[in-house]
Amino acid sequence: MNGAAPKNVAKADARASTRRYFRRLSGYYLWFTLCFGLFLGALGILEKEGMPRQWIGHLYMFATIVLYATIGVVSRTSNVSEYYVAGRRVPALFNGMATAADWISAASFISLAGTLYLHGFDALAYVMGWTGGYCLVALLIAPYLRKFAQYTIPDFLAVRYGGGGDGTDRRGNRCARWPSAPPSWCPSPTWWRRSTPSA
Amino acid sequence: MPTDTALPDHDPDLRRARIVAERTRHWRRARRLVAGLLVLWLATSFCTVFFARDLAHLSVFGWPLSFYLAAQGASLIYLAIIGGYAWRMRVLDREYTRRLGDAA
Repeated sequence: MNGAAPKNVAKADARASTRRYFRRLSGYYLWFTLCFGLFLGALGILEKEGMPRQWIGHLYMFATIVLYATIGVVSRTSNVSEYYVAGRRVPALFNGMATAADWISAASFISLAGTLYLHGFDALAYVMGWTGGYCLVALLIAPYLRKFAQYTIPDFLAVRYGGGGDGTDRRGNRCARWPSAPPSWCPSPTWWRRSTPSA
Repeated sequence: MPTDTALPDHDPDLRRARIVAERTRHWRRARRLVAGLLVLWLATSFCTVFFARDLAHLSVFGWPLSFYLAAQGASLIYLAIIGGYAWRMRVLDREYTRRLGDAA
């Protein structure tokens, strides 16, 4: 009973801080969206006023790079976990938005429309391919990547199948290479058995 | 489980056995969920394309079914698969944590 009360308090505290963080992040995102809209509007006005197209293009490119560089400098870190996964603090909603932004990336806008126009029905394989592939990642890899606290798929495979535990031993490194070299590991069941944990 | 209260909770072997049992149960349910969703995934991505000609005479919103599925339906089904997985795993994880708290 004595141990349960502080645990509950700590849990409530953590939840409150998560909510605060969520609100702050929402504020940042709103500000960013607002400023981006204003920037686009300003560019539109400038175009109407007769600013050359090329300058507009350069301005857009330059502003984007400066913005990203600023964000990078402001939130610089030498912590690996902070660098790769933002300390695992980003709420699911924002992570989902980032994933969606990746999904609807420049490739979709620039090349997919043209590919569809050129190839018709067959080009829909691209759409199905990368969304369906995302399903496989979400079901088979992502949860375990998170559970194993790894940053990349090779890291995860090294820890899961390496047998060394920390994934830095020689066997782990060799395992991490096997997705890129299927012919060398497929026909060797003895090697497979040796490198699979016997639990 | 009324019988559990009669058992001595401080026995470490028993506790470990219970935790292992909970873990096995959770893992089995998660695996079954993933297997089911993967079957749905295979049906969506392979069967609708492989049997596209047979499905073409059915129409959805004025489009042939196979075309609709490839252009929009499959993506929506994939989205539903991911959403369903996330939702169901949340439920399973919560239940697992709760039962583990009971067991430990």
